[in-house]
Amino acid sequence: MDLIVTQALNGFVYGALLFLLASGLTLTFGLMGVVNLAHGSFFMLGSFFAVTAIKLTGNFWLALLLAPIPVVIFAVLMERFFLRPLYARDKLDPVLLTFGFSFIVTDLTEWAWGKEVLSIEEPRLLDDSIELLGGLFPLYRLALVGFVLLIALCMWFIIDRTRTGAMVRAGVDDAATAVGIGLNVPLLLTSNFACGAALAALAGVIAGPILGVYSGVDVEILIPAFIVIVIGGMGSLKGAFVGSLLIGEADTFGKTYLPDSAMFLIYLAMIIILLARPGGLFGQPPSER
Amino acid sequence: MTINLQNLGLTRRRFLRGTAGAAGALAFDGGFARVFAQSDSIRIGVFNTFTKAVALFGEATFRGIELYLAGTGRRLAGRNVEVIKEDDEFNPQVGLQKLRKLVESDKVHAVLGPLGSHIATAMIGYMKSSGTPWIVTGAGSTVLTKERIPAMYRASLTNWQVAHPMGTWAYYNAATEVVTVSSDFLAGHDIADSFKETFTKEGGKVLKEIFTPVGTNDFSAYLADIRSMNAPAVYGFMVGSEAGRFVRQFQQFGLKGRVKLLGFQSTLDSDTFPLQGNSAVGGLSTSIYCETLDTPENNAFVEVYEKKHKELPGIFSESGYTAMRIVDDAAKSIDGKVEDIAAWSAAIGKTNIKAPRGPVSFDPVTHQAIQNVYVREVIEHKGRIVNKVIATIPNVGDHPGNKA
Amino acid sequence: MMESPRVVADGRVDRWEYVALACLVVWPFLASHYASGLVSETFIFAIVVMSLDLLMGYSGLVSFGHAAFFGLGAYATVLLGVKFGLSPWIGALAGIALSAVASGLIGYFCVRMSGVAFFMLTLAFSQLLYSGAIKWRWLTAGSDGIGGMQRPDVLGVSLAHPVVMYFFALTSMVVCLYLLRRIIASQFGHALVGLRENETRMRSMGYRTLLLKLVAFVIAGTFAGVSGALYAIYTGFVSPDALSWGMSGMFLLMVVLGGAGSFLGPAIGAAVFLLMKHFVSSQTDHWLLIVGVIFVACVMFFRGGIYGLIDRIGGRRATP
Repeated sequence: MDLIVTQALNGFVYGALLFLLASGLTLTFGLMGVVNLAHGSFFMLGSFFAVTAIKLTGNFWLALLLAPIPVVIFAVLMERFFLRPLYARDKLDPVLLTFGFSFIVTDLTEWAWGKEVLSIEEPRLLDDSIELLGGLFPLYRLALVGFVLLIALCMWFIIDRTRTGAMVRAGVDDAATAVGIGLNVPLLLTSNFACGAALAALAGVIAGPILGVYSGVDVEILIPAFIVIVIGGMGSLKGAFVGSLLIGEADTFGKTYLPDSAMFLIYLAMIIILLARPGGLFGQPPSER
Repeated sequence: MTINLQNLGLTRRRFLRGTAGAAGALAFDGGFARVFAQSDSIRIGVFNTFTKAVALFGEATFRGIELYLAGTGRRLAGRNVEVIKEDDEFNPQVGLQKLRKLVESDKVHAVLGPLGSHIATAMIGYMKSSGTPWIVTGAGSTVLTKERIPAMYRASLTNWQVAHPMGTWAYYNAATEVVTVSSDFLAGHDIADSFKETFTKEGGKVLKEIFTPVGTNDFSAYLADIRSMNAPAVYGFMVGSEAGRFVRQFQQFGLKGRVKLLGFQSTLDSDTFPLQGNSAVGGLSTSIYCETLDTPENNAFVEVYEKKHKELPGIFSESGYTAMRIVDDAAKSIDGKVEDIAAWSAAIGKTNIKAPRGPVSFDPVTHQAIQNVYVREVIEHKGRIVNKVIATIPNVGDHPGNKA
Repeated sequence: MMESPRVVADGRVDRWEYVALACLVVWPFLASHYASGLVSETFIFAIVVMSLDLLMGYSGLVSFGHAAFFGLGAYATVLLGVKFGLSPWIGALAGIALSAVASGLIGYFCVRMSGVAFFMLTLAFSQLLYSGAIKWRWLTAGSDGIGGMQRPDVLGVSLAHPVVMYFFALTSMVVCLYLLRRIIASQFGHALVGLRENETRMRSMGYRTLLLKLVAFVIAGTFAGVSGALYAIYTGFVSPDALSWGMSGMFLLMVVLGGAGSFLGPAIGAAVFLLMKHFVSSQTDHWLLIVGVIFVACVMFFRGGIYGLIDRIGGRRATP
């Protein structure tokens, strides 16, 4: 029993990181119909900027605040000048563009920070382990889960209860009509993209002490995020939440009980969902965009 | 009629292709470089991993090599040395491409490396047919020295050499039940098997064999699993920053103090201590080198290393350093004529030196280095985390099965 | 993004292409063995990239999982050769057959989707195979890969000799290019292009569009298998990399770089990418940056890729 609860907690931690990524990814897809293959790059950049921020300020919390800023600026520039001209075209052109950007970012990152694995230390406040179920569990990870839950709550509140949220939902449901009723869709798209980037960067910072900081983490975290949004439903925030939970737990329990087939089964699930229920658990089928 | 490029058969396209090709060819041959480089120099190809988790160890090996060369004024046996560094990215496919470049384009006189056992295995066919002298500086796959490659010498360990003594030692000094955790590639399986062989022979029981995917950085799920089994000891093999994280998380999840941490040499090494801090203290490992060995050779080496890098050397720095020394000594004995591969090879085979790690010589049949294996404990000494030798097993050779 | 494909209506070969071929034939006698080896590798990749062009450029199906078939071809060749001691030729034939069957199975499901869904589904299938290759060490030795396969003989001459390998690769590429062009020039090929332009219209005209797409998928997958088998013969080694989405992405990159919808464009894309990787990477570490920038430029402005650019310089209109 203890093992199951501990593993469930571990799954929450991974799921939390995935949620931060998947939420941005899914909303970007919902609004723009674009699968952002550079989303992992935002995550990676967040963690690297955090390393630099910590080196300069010596403070984890400051880094948490500061690191997403350059990433958001980059995202806004990318969307405004490179992505936007392509919306009118073939739906896959923007996707290919983000793919190209991911290479550029990887190279620049290695240029600026090198190719070794860097680390971010847990902040001293949280650098401890607490007694849990006859063992120890790192306080930092518990705080992480709590932090992401808070963000999830805020997101839900914004999307479900505010006008901005209503605009996003309208845009996701039907962009053409949204324009027709006077919504400033371009601004909406850019802000949505920027928020997604901010969340991804934030995830990169808080993941730093757990996963390490290195070029290549962008690719490693992107594919699970894809699986999450496919299973959860592309365009659905609820789907991103549930999906992250599912994948986080599947990954963790898989490592313990099914080390040889967990990966395979997860991809099988992804395929089945894409075929049987392309809208995922909570979203809309992608072909209807 | 106006001359139209079309009529000329669109020469631009093929011109571009041809020019690119020609320029490429010259570059591939390093034609330009060759013109300016001294044809008199000895070219050493350093083939290792310089990216991601294992970069830690690759860079350490390189530091060792450079340190030795700094000591000789960048000369080997009276000739200048040109070091060409290539990164295999811990990926055999990439590695093979870079290897080809080193051997065919850079025309190195010797290849030093690699780190990954799986990379070394992938290299066998190619090195056999190319015949270029190959000094292995890290990869420990036990069966490598079963292959009879005349110009290959392994100046580092075999996984069996270091892992099997731990099996015996652990049973009598640590625990009778162990969970093994290894990185899921060739070396991981090799090491787990070698440990298991001797451990179970004494009567020990391996509760579970865990293999973590290469590149794992979050071991929480595995650590929770281990704890739930109430295992008295863990035998861990990780590389580079993976090892750093594993030991650190070992402490964070409360296993330190309850579960004995036994490791392969790379899991608890000078190069991983900066990442691990005092979470490593109390860890036990077997290794072919220990930075606190109190011998004149090691003291001299450590002094020079510490002066340059402000920290203590680990197994990989020593590995690179000693490999270069072996290469140098052998080259000196044949008056620097390293182009004579057979003579150079034979000279390397006659190596019998006192390296920082202790005595090193080569098995005449398998070309494996015969050396001491030390049982080490991690302690805190004068504010520093270091390994300390608590037992020595002298002159451990190659796996008997390799001599057949 | 894809320009209207440069459909060569009757499969006729341009004069300049003969000149280019002549240059390529002469090349190995001027260049080093190492350089010839690299160009051989380029020819082999050109085949898989041209096959992806059939899907992307001519049929409008952007696949992110094409490496699945490339990898299957490679794995079958090496596995049969190393584990069962069979001749690499038998392994290659088995690999090609395997890719054909797999592309039929996978294609059956994938062609029902389009756009982003197709993209994700192809990715999922190739990742499925990748996860098997990584984890089932008893079969594939996992991430270690399997190696040690010697190059076989062809017509009594050993492919171990770099020049022989070069000509073998060159011939293979030329043959594949010829076949692909004939396919596109056929009625089937024209129907494919029509499908890309306007699927609804094609359907209303009575074409069985799903079947068309499936056949295109299988043809592309089979050629990818050929390329994979050749790659296995060339390097004597295979690892899960060959099935990875990184590999699929690289193929995509080469197609866009070179210019989709022209077969030769992607082949040039492959050449540029690989030669840049080997040539530029010895001068600077930042070849990926350069490639990325060119790629982005191609997606944004030069939709015809490098081939389209050269075409324009050469005076030929990009759109027929």
